[in-house]
Amino acid sequence: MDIAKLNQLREKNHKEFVNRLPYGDSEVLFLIGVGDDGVQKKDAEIMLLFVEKIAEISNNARVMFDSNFKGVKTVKDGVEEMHEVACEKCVDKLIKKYLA
Amino acid sequence: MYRAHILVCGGTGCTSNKSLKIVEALKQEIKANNLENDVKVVVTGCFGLCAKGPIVVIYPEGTFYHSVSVDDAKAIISEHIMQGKKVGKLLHTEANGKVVTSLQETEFMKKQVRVALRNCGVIDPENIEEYIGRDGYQALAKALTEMTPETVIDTILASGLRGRGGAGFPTGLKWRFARGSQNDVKYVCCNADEGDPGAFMDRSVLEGDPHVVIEAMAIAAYAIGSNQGYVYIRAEYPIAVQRLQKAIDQAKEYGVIGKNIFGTGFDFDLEIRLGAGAFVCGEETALMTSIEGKRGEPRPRPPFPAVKGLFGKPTILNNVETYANVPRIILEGAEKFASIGTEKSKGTKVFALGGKIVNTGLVEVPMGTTLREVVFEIGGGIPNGKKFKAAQTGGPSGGCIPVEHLDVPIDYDNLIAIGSMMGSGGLIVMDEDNCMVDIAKFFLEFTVDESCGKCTPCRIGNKRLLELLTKVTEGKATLEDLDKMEKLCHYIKANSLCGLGQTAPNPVLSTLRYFKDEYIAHVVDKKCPAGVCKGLLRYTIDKEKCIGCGICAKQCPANAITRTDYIAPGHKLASMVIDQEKCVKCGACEKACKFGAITKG
Repeated sequence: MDIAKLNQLREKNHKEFVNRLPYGDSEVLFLIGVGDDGVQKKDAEIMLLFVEKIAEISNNARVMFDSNFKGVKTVKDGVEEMHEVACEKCVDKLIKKYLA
Repeated sequence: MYRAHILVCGGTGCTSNKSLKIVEALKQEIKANNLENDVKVVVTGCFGLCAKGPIVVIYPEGTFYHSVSVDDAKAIISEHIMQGKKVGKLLHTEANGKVVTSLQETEFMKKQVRVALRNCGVIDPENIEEYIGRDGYQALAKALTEMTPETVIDTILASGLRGRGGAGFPTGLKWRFARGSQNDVKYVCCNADEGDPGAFMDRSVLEGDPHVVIEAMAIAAYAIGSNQGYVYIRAEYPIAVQRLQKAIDQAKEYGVIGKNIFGTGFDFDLEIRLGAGAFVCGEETALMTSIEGKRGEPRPRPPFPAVKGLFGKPTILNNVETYANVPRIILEGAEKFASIGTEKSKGTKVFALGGKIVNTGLVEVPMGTTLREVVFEIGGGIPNGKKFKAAQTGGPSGGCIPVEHLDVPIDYDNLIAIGSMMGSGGLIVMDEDNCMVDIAKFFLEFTVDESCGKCTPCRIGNKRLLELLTKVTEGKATLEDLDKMEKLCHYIKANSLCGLGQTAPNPVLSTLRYFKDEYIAHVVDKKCPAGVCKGLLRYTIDKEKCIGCGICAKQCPANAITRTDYIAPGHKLASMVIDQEKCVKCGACEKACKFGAITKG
C-alpha cells in the first residue's frame, strides 16, 4: 500500500464515524421528528440524505430521530428552529445554512 | 451509509455474559424487518462500564443501554430503531435517581479522557479499515516519510511518556538507548502478559484496538533500527489473542507491515508468542528468556535489554498501554500529550477498577486525578453503605493507599512517596470488612506461588515472610515477629534478582505502615477486627437468645453444634452450643439463625 491509497481508505471509512461518535462532539443537531407513527420510509430516506451530506462536509453535526414531534428541527447553540423538509433540495439548503 | 449503528460490547466481560448472542438476535430482528441496508450492528471493544454489561450503544443518538439480554433485541429494533423511542427499562439510572441516555453523561465517564482507549467501544477491532478510518497508520506513514528515527525518539521523549507497565521508565529514553546500541539485528517486544490479579487494561486494548499496538511497534522498530517484533501475550486471553492475530494478518495483507512499507524501504514483521501462565514472565528479562524457548527466569542486569536483550540483541520491551499512546503522540505532537497530566507524569492512565466499588470496570483518567475522584465519582463509591478503607494499586508489587491519602494526585512519584506504586493499573478497593493483614497475605501467597525460584532472597525469603504473616493471621505471632517481618521485607527487596522478588514485600510493608493497629490486634489481642481471619474467629451462641430451633445445627457441615440442657426463660426448647474444637468457622450457622443468637468475634 502507498500513502495515497492509505489516505483514500481513510477518507472512505472516516465517513462511517460521522454518525458513530459521542454527541458531545457535535455543534449542530438535525432532529427528524417521527411522532407516534414511528420511522417511516420517507423519514429514513431524509435521515440518510443528511448523513451522507454531513459526512462530506463536517463532523460537527448530528442527525437523529425524535419521537416527541413531527417535522424537522435544528438545534444550534441552544436555539431550536422548525423547518419544512420534503426533498433533497431542502436538505441541501439546511446543510448549507448551518454547516457552510 | 447506515442511518443507525448498534454497537455491542465484545470485550471478555460482556462476551461471557452472552453479548455475542445479543448480536445474533439483533441481526435476526434487523433481517426480519428488512433493515439490513439501514442499520449496522458492530461488535466493539470495551466501553468501560463493565459492572453494567452487556452494554449496547446506539448511534446517532448515542443512547446507552445496560444489562441488555438476548430477549431485549426485539424491543431495541421495534421501539428504538423503528419508532425512534428509547427502551426505558434499559436506560441507566444514576445513584441520584437521574436517568441518563448517553454514556458520556454518566458520572462514570464525565472525568475520563480516552487516549489509549480512544477506539475501544468505537471501532470494530476485527476490521482494519475502521482503524484506518480513525486515522489508523497515519502516524506510521508520517514517521516513515516525514521524520527521522532520531526525530521520532525526540518526540516521544518530549511527550514525557513513561512506561505504563508499572516502573514508569521514560519510553523515549529506552528507545534512545536501543538506538545507540550497535548491532545489525534489534528487536521490539510488547509485554501483554498482564499478570497482576484484577488487571485487564492491556486485555481491553488488545480486544478493542489491536492495530494501535501494531502501528506503535512498527514506529518503535523504525526508531531503534529494528525489523522484527514480538508480542508476548498470556494464553489466558483467547479473545485478545485471536483479535491480535487477525489484526496482524490484516496489517500484512494491507501492506502496513511487512516488506517495503509505504514504499520507503522499511521492513517490519510481527509475531505473537504465547505466555504459559507464569507471573514472572511479565518481568522483562524473564519474558525474553521465555520467547527464546527457555524457562522463564530473569537475568541479572546490566547488561540491560537495550544493549543485550532477546537472543542477545538490543531489544526494547514496552507495555501494551505504553504503545497505545504512541500513534497519537506522533500525529498530534508531543506538546498536546504533555499538556495532560502532572509535571513529571504526562498523559493519562488506564485503571481496572475492582473490589468493593459500585462501578467496576475500565477507566482512563489524566495523571493527577485524585484517588477520591476515581473511587467516589467515577467509581460510584463503596456499595452497601460501607466505608472506604484502602485501595491497592500495583497489584502484588504495589501497596495500599489509606483514607488519609485519598486526595493525593495519582502519578508515579506521588504513589511511591506514600508507599505504593502505579503498577500496571489494577486498582482494588477495600472497605471496612476487609482485613488488611489478610490482604497482604493474599498478595504474598500469590508471589510466593509465582516465584521462579532462581534467587534465594525471593525463593526462601518470601516463603519465610509468608510463614510469619500466616502466624499473624492465626493468632500465633508475637510482636518480635512483626519486627522480624519488617527487617526481612527490606532484605528481600534489596537482594532479589528481579522485580517480582524486589516488590513482593510491598503489600506487607505498606499495610504495616498504615494499618499497624490491625497487626497489633491480631498479635496482642488475638482478634481480627474485620472478622476475616478464620484462625481468630469464634462463633458463639447466646444461650438467652437461642430458641433451640436447631436450624444452625442442620446447616453446620462439621456437626459442631449440639443441644445443651439449658432452657432460657420464656423458651420451650433448650439452647444450642458450638463446639469450638470442631467448628470450621464457615459462618453457615450465623447466616441461618433468624434470631440473631449467633455472633462472630
